[in-house]
Amino acid sequence: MADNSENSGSSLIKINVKTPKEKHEIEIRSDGGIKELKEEVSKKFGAPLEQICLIFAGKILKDGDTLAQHGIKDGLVVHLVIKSANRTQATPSAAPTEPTSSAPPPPADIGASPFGLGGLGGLAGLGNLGMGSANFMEMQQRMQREMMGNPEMLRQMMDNPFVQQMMSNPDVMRQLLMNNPQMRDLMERNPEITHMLNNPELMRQTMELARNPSMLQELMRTQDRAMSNLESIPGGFNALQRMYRDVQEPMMNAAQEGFGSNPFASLVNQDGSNTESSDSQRGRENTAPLPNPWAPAGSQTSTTSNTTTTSTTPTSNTSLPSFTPQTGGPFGMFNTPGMQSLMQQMQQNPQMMENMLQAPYMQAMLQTMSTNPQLSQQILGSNPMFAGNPQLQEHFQQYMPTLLQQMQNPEMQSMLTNPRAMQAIMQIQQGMQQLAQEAPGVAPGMLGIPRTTPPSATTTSTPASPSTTTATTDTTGTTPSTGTTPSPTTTTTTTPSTIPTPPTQLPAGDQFNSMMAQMMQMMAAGQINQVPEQRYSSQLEQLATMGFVDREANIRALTATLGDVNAAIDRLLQQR
Amino acid sequence: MAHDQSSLLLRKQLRDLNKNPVEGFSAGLIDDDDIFKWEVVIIGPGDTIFEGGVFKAHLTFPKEYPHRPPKMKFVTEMWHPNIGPDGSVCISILHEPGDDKYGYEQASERWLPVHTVETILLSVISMLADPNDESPANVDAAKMWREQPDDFKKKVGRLVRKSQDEL
Repeated sequence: MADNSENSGSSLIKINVKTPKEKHEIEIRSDGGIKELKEEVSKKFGAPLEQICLIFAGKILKDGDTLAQHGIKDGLVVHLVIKSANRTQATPSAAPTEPTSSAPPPPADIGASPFGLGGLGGLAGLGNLGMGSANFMEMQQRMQREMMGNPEMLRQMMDNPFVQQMMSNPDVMRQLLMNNPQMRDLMERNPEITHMLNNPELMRQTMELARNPSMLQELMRTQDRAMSNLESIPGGFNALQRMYRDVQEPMMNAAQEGFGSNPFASLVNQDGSNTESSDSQRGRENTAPLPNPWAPAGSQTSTTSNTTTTSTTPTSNTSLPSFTPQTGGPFGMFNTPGMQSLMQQMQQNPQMMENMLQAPYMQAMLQTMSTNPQLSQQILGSNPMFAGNPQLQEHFQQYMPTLLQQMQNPEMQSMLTNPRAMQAIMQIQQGMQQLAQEAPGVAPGMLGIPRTTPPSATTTSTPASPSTTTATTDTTGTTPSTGTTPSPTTTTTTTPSTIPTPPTQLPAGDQFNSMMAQMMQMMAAGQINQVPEQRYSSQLEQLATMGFVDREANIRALTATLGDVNAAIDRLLQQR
Repeated sequence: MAHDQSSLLLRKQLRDLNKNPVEGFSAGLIDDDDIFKWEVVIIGPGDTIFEGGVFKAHLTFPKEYPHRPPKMKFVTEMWHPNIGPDGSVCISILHEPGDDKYGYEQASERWLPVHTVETILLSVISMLADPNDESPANVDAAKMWREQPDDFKKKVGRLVRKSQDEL
């Protein structure tokens, strides 16, 4: 470039670099290049080099140019514009640096977590469990994409009583946020945020924003577009940030709470009679990839192996009513809305299942299980359901090897990985559910048929314990694992076990049925699904005394405002 | 000579602006040998929807400057009621002096020889934040600004980002 500058020798010059807000003096060699200047500016202003844009005399300075070329001399002023952070690769740390200023908003916030507004919250927290494998990330991304296309789901989540409760309690929110070191750091730097968190009204507004379907749609379309759109709505960026903080963070925490402690640990602890095995299991738990929290049934049934349950995962899920956080114990993790929507997601995306099944850790898990029957036994033993039922336990153990073998059968696996097969299973399951709903009397009878056909010698132990049997009859209608379907086309398949499991393991499959059923029951029992009417009873009363007599409308308004009476009144008045 | 007067005046302004740059824009010559053709970079004013944008524009002065106004044209894509689809800026102070043939503007609102690059650009910057849709140069933008302010903001937001990407 300007070679002549070398003749003039180099001397230090001072250049004033200013943004609309800041001004710094920078010393640089007069024969330096723009690149060097930019590096200095980057240091002084604490902004990434690639975001530095220098303007002098109506020109945007390019890296390859020299100071001399532009006639930048001592004492002159160079304008600086710090560009917005790269949108595609959001840096979580970059986001909070300027959260309240209205400067080019760093759109990192949402992107920072692959789940962002997806609300699944930090399933990233799974990394703690060692689940942060590449496959897992991929899965997350997939889900996220799916989620974007389905704002309805997010809205559903927002309407989830748990989420609402959480959101309507500023203390909880605050605590959740405070528990996050990153957040704490952010708050220290920005007292405004703390203030914001102390303002339940603000939080509520954000939530309402999140519930607005059109807004959400806008948000969900694509991250990039959503960001750009929102940013330009007045307060939109702030809303986004708030949303991130108010929705994403607590969700992450909730998810982490669920996952943070291995669900099996609690199983183990609960089971006092089995201390010996539980201890040894505890030692191994973290290294063995066994407990796959993804399989809702599988984690319960533990060694039924994740593959079995992956086949049933999507199906069993539908029949699970929405859990509420109150359910403690081993189900804790399923209660997180994140988990639920994840399940829903899995269901809607067989492709993902396939992916999961093909994941290396899945294979490894199967391997471990088959080579180490001891381990499976321990897990079985520590399962309270089995613990109280030695017969069943024994039975299960007996069939474990077969089951595992079955699982490793490539044919079987290919079946599981066949999206269409999965879909078919889901359909069957849905049909079952419907049948159970429409004709509760018929379902158990139908399901009884396969059970009475003894597939092998083990029939004697099939009924297991009375408790399980009743459970089966009660709830089998919703048990997904039963292969029989109400539709005449499929009834021909009398294979009672889960569709994908071939007949060799029929008895085990049968057991599996009852286990599933029991699980269902347990879940149903633990579920406290408070209707809004109950939840907002005090507020409803308040509204009634104020003269808002339309109870339905009141409930609607309260639900929409997350129990904020004032906001509900506003809403009600507006509607009139 | 008129020519000398105008170039002298412009040179002085350029020197001043280089030494004491004005907040919000940076001005220079497109070609160092042509004092009548300026290029400016306007930094999107803070607290407006244009914030963060880096907008390039050219100013072309007539030989009769300061008796006649320069023309200003954005090189960066813009979306504003007072910026034509071709980027030309349409504000009253840049309109030829004298009475407006359409009767829109008072003579006092139009070009006056006291205007400099600095006053022009400050007017343009304030125009960005505060459009005047009475005599829009971009009817579509004006309509959107009036009727769908949210869409307008979105569109501008996109352009702001685009302007950064082009750097």
